[in-house]
This record gives sequence, C-alpha cells and structure tokens, in this order.
Amino acid sequence: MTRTHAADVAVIGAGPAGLAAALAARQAGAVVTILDEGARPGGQIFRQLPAAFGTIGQPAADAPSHALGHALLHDVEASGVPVLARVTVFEARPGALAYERDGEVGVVRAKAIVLATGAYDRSVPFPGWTLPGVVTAGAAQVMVRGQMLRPGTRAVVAGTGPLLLPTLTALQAAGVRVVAALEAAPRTALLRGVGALLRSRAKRREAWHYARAFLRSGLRLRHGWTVFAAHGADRVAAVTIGRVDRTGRPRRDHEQRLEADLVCVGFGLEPSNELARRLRCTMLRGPDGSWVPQVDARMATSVAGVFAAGEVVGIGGVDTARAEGHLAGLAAAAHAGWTVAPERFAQAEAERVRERAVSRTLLAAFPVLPGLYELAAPDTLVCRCEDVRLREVREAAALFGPELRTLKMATRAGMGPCQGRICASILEGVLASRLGVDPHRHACPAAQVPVKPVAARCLLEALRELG
Amino acid sequence: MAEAPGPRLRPESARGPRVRLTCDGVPVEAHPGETVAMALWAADRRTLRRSTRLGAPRGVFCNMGICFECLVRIDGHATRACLAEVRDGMRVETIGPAPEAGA
Ligand SMILES: Cc1cc2nc3c(=O)[nH]c(=O)nc-3n(C[C@H](O)[C@H](O)[C@H](O)COP(=O)(O)OP(=O)(O)OC[C@H]3O[C@@H](n4cnc5c(N)ncnc54)[C@H](O)[C@@H]3O)c2cc1C
Ligand code: FES
Repeated sequence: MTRTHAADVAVIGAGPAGLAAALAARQAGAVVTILDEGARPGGQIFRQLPAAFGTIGQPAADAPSHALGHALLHDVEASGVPVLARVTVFEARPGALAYERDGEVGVVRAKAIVLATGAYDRSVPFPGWTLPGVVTAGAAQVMVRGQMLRPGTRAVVAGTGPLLLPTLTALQAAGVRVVAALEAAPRTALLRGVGALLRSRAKRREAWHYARAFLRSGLRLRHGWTVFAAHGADRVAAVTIGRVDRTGRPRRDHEQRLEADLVCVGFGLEPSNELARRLRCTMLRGPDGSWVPQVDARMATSVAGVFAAGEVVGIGGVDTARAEGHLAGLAAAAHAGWTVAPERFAQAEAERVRERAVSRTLLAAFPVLPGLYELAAPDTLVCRCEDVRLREVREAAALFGPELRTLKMATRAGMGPCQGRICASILEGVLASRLGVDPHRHACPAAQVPVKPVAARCLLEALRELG
Repeated sequence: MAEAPGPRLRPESARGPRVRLTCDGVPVEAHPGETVAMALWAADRRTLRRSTRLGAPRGVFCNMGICFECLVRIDGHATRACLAEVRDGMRVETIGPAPEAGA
C-alpha cells in the first residue's frame, strides 16, 4: 500500500533552508511536511550525531553557525512539523511528489513545494581519482563531524574555496596528519574572499572561527597547488602534487610525491538541482556556471506552486540559506491560501537580498578554474558510474560533435546511477579545456524520473499513484 | 583525542552496544548509529563495489547520497551504504563484476 500524506506545504530538504522554510510556513498557519534523505534533520552543516552515540561530544569545536542550527532544529521540533527522515524524493510534479523509504513508496500531495535540496562538492577528475580512499571534502567532514571517525592517518586536502578550511580543521581535530593542504586558486582569490566576508557580520565570525583554528593548527595552505594524481593498487597509498597557473592549468615543473592514505578533494560546490530540472523549472546559469532554478523576489520558480531556497538556487552558505528558506516558507504558505502580512514579506525580502549579495561576492572570488580540467590523462575516467575515459569522450566528440546529449548516447557518460550529478560539469569542463567548446552552448540537461535510482517496482507504483 | 587507538574517536564504550553484520560473509562489528559505509571504513574495508565495465575497486566518495559509488546489497536490496545505518544481523553484499583481466 502506498502511504499518502496531504499538506499545504511540502519542504524537500532539512538543511537550514528547509528548516527555516518549514518554520515560516507553519507560523503563517500552513500544514507542513519536511522530507530528507538523511537519518536526522540538519542538512550538511548542522550535522547531528546519531542519538545512539550518546553524549560523546563533537570532535571539532562548534562554529558560530552551529548555535543557529541548534536553535532552528529546536524550533522545528517544538513547532510539531513532522520530519520524514531517510526518505528519498525521486519524482515531483506541481502539487505532488513521491519518495522511497526502505523499498516502500510514499506520496505527498501539497499545494506548494519548497525545494531546499542543497549542494555537494564539485569534482575535477585527475589520474587515480576513483581509487578508494579518495573522497570529497564533504565526505571527510561527514566522517568526522557526523560519525566521529578518524578517516585516515596521512591526508592530502586539495581543491578550492572557503570550504577547505572546515575540512582541514575537522581532520586536524580528529587527529589526522594533514601532509598537504592545497588551494588551487592564487592568493589574490583569498584576499577577494576576505573582502566579501568582511561585509557580513555572521560570515566574519564564522570565518574568524575557522581562521583561528587553522592558524593554531600550524598548517600552511599552499596557494596555486593541487593534486595531480593518486596512486595505489586497490586503495590510495600516495599522491603526486604540483603547481597550477592562475587559470588552474598544471605546471609540471614542481611535482612532488607524498605518501597518503586519504585524499580529500572539493572544487567548490554544485547545487542539487535534479528536482528543479524534473519539475521543468526555468533554469539559469549561476555566477559559477552551475544550473539553478530562476526565482523571483519571493523565491517562486517559474512553475506555479514550486519555490526554491538555499544552495539549490546558488551556492551561498548557511546565512543565505536560512534567509531564503524563511522567505520561501512565507511565500509557499501564501500560495496555499494563508495570509502573510506585507511587512513580514518586506523584511524577509530585504534580508534575502542582503545575504545573497555577500554570497555572490564570495562565489566570484573562487571561480571554477578552467585549466584544472587538464589534469585528466587520456585514460582518466570522466564518468565514474559508466567507466568512461576522457579519450572515449574525445573520440566521440570528433565523430559526432560536442553536444552533451549526443556524447551521452555515444559513450554512456552520465547515464549511470548518479545521473550526471558528478560528471555533467566535468564533461563541460573537459570539452571546454580540451576542445575549446564554449560551455554556454550547452542547454541545461533534462532530468529523468526517477531522479535518484529506485527499484522498478517503486517507480511503477509511484507513477500509477501520481497518474 | 589524537592518542585514541583505532579509527573511532572517543571511547568505543560511549557508542552503545555492539552490533554484528556481515559483509560478503565476513563478520564486522559496529555500533548503532553508524552507517554501513562508515562501519566498513572503520573495519579498514575501502572497496565497496567493483565498477560496471572495468571491475575496478570503488568505495565511499561523497558520503552523502549523491554519487552512488557506495551501492551495496543490504539484505537483498541495492542501497547506498553511506545513508543506511547498521542493524544487528544485517547482511551486506558487494556488487559488481570480477576485475577485468589486466585492468
Ligand atoms: C560538506 C559540506 C560542508 C559545508 N560546510 C559549510 C560551512 O562550514 N559553512 C557554510 O556557511 N556553509 C557550509 N556548507 C555549505 C552548506 O551547504 C550551506 O551552508 C548549508 O548547509 C546550505 O543549506 P541548504 O539548506 O541549502 O542545504 P543542505 O544543508 O545541503 O540541505 C539539503 C538537504 O536536502 C536533502 N535532499 C536533497 N535531495 C533530496 C531528495 N531528492 N530527497 C530527499 N532529501 C533530499 C539532503 O539530504 C540535505 O539534507 C557546506 C556544504 C557541504 C556540502
Ligand atoms: S558515497 Fe556517494 S552515495 Fe554513498
């Protein structure tokens, strides 16, 4: 039997954006349901330890934003809004969505849907990046902050952007020896980023927290360096690191080999936009080139009754996510027929505009460096799911042209279970750096149902139920 | 904290009772609240599947449900090991072809 729920507002994602949206909608009077794949609400940043761990405490000192997170989680709990945890939303239509939990299907019918699905690390392929032991920066944070593990003994951390700092401090707190901390962007990017941070009090405090932890750690961030290759038979045992120029292009003159049993990589974040694409929201390229749903001044997408907030409408960090979630929650409640006072809207809109402006500056300080896509060798896999090598993509492009859809059919790149979440930006990146294909010629890829793989039986049941 | 032996931070006793699962028949000890992926990681098992075409070893990559690199069969169902929490008696089986000769 399919489980069905009815609500005024369904919120997908229980990170700061989703939690703030649910609270605002509830306070406006709406009946709200939150859905999240994780075991506990909180999203990426307010990661709660499993209750079964008891009171063993967090390994890394809490950042200032975590107090905000605890308050949000507490308020949501007090509000009585149900959080459906461990549910994967795999289909959405205006007015309804379907999820899977432990092989069972559920359907939520709601007058308004808020997409607060967050973001994940952007990957750049390099030889050996598929070896076990090479993980995203986010993965390492989950290991330490969400599971209280020491993920390795000697780690190399490489990537770009402000999220390298929390990763480094988490690893250090867990007792991992960080043998190299590599920021691909030149030092000037850091200075521009600091300029952006200074414009927001909350971000200033957050940055200071991590900067202080970092300075105390005695680690040195090497600017203009990155990981060139990971080596090992069935797990990573060593890496080659080297210098990159201002565009990220590898310079082969300073290569070094280091032993490491853990490699953490993160080249910025990409929005989890598959449900927005599935709902056929109008998609735009954000300042970092990622596809995000277009939203109006009150977070409404182009599809009636569908709102979006937080990282999914552009990478922005926790304060932006919370401000946008709050506004989207108000707008969703209003769409469902509840009254929201104009001054509440005005205040929420002003706060959102302020927070987004700061994030935009920060994002612009750490652009995706196009030259990094030259790290891949001909044999390097660009699509992990389907084992597609760079060479095969080049050959297919020579034969059939550089259209993403054609390349997908010819090579199967992007057809596996991740459905392009990891490789779509990689394909654009390698086509641009290797073949000079302008990324702007590619249209936003369509999302197929199920947006995350489920058993065929679940899919059929959901489609029958949704009609 | 850096002195604590083993990959689990802080005393293991604080993690609640032990549960036992098996991975491809091999017993693995874990604690409630741990994900299958992290219980296996703590047991020093890095490879969770073999890749579709090359049979190459793959393991946890994103650890947050995005990449599906950690797909295993849990009690018969294909599941992301990084999202599933351990249960006593759980049967985990890895998926994928045998390594390709010479790959
Ligand atoms: C590992 C990591 C560390 C970060 N650290 C910081 C930091 O220190 N400071 C900072 O300012 N920012 C940090 N960020 C950026 C961070 O994403 C935001 O600050 C904040 O978490 C964004 O909130 P959000 O609500 O938009 O998304 P998230 O917090 O990412 O929440 C999105 C939620 O949606 C759920 N979801 C997505 N798709 C589905 C689906 N189909 N079905 C069900 N549920 C779904 C996910 O499980 C997730 O819980 C970090 C990001 C990552 C990935
Ligand atoms: S490691 Fe990516 S989905 Fe589990």
